[in-house]
Amino acid sequence: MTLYDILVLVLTGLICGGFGFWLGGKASPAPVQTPINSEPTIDANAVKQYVKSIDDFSRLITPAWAAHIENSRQEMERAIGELAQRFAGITVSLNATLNASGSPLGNANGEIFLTSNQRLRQVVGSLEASLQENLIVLERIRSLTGFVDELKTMAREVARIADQTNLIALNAAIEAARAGDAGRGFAVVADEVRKLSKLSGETGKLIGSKVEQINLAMHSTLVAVEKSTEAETLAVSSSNHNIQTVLENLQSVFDGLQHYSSDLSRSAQAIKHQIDESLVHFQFQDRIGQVLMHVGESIDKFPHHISSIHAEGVEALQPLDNAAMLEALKSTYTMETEHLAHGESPSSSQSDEITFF
Amino acid sequence: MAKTILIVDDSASVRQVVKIALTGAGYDVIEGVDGKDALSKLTGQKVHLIISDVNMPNMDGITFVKEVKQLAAYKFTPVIMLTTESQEGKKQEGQAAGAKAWVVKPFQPAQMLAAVSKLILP
Repeated sequence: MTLYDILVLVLTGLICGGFGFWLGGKASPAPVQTPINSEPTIDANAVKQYVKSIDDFSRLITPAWAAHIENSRQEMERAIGELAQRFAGITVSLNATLNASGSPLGNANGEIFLTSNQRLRQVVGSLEASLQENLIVLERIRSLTGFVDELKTMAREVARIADQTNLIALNAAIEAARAGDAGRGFAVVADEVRKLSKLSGETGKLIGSKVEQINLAMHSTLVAVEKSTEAETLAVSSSNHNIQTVLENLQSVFDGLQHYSSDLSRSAQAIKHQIDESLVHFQFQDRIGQVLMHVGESIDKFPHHISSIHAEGVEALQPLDNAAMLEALKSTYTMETEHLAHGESPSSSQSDEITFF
Repeated sequence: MAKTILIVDDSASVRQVVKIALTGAGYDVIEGVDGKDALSKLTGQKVHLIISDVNMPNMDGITFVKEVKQLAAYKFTPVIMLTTESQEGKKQEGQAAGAKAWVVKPFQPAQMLAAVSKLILP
């Protein structure tokens, strides 16, 4: 039963029931006291009072009903309008959030990560190349120590040849002394050879000493380079490990952010969908507003109907034209539900689908 | 550049619902509270599509559409009637006035978007 049905029933009940009861109670004597075939006597003054009360009712009460309905309709329209506006604000914010999460900035995170990864790998690659160069230097220094050994052998050989030459020169001097005057010239030569062998021996020792110094210097250099290379190897390995750890941590952070962003987007989408669904239901305000307006307008016309039937005075009272009032109300209907409310069968020519012309 | 759509309805909530549905799809939306107000909104700017209610105070939707079709700049602008009216007679009035589509309230936002995108390119 619609609001209109209730109002019409209440009004009709009040008027007809009240009038009948009033007439039964005030204008007619009790049935037991009424003589057979006698007309009931009607108190004209009382009827006038009753008609005046109905006039007052239609003049005072029905406009108040109509005003309440209109106020409620307007209040509902304002409230639903504001509510829809708030939801619109939420939707705008959600759209902004969704656009931001799907923006190039958001998608660039993965690219930034990849670029960083490549650059850090390049740094490690440079360190490893530098280490390889150091290893080559180390190998060359090691190969130099082989030459030093050869130099030492050569220096020893020089010393040995000098000793041998010295011995030969000594034998030559002995043989020269044995030859007497004839060997005096030879003795000078032998002496010179002995001096040369002595010098050669000293030079050989000097070379050996220098080679030994070079050997020590090279050995200390080799140790230093080996230590440096070892430290560098550890540094590269450590850097590699640290970079890998950093990249893994970054990947984890990015994955977390990506996951969080996806969750946020999904939630925002779900909320947006719910709001969209709610917005469809907000349209009930328009439908209810129209029904209330139609009922309010019908109630507004009620005083006019009452005054028209009372226009000729109590002696010429006319019945209410309820059928005309109902038709007038029906003519304001715009919705199928309003027609159905009066028991009309659904119209076959109506369709809730979109119609394109 | 986003296309502009004018929604004409005396119900603020319906205007909001239409606005949310269309702005979410990238359209610019301007509002008119009745036919008379909407006519004043048409001057000085380009509107690519009009969505109008039928029953409104001051100037009803059918009269509004007839007035719009008299304007040279809007003679070929598509109009969608958005109304609680679903009687065939009223639809025919809308069609005669120059409307291109008739959507019955309550509508689904997706349904409205489909109707709009059928009449104008996004």
